[in-house]
Amino acid sequence: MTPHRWSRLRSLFNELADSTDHVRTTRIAEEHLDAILHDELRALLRAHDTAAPILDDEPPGHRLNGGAPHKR
Amino acid sequence: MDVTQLLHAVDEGRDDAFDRLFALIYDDLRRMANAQLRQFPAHATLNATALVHEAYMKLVRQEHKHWENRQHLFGLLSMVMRRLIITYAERKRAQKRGGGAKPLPLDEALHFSQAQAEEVLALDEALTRLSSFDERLGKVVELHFFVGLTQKEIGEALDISERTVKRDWKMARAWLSKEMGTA
Repeated sequence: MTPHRWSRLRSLFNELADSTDHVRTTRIAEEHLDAILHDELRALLRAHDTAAPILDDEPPGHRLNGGAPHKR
Repeated sequence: MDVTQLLHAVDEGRDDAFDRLFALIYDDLRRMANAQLRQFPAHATLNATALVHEAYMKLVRQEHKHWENRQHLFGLLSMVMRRLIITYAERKRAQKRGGGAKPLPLDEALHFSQAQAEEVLALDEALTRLSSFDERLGKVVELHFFVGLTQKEIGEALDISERTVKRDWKMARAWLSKEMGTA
């Protein structure tokens, strides 16, 4: 991925990651991104909702094998 | 002498400077090691002192010690600690495969499961890929996950705002999760 495309992806992810307006999220993604970046953004937003337990910011004792998927 | 002065003294090759520097930052190092080891909460026998001493031995064996400032030093220490954890996880994997890997000095201090070892290795590989095209995001993850610094402390270490650290962590966390195949 080129630095420019990565920068666009980061910018839109930052804007959309905490949005609960999924209609708007989808519209912005479709308006601003080509198909590949659109898919990449959707995958990132999905990952944002279900981050790997090892990366969960839950208190100690809830990480790794015991970590529950992060839910919005 | 403070940390910066001692760093200069080490750079000038003064014999006692490294030990004095290490003594000065020992408490910080133990805090970092404790934070790092908290990533493996399933085991109560983790030993921060052993991790710090291993890091010390790795640093003291360096032929050329040159650190520009405190941030540079702690950045290097975080890499050393990450490397120690990963080396242990690799040994754990090799033992499972019957490779006959020799125990490391840390083996008695660091106990995590095979599954945890695999997860840490997967994270390390994904983090290396992330750092190849976004160095700052990689550094934020390293300092947060492997060193256990708070977002405020990371901001100070990297000279960026806490808000930026927060955004970087969120993006990095999503990207790494996607790469690790958990999303």
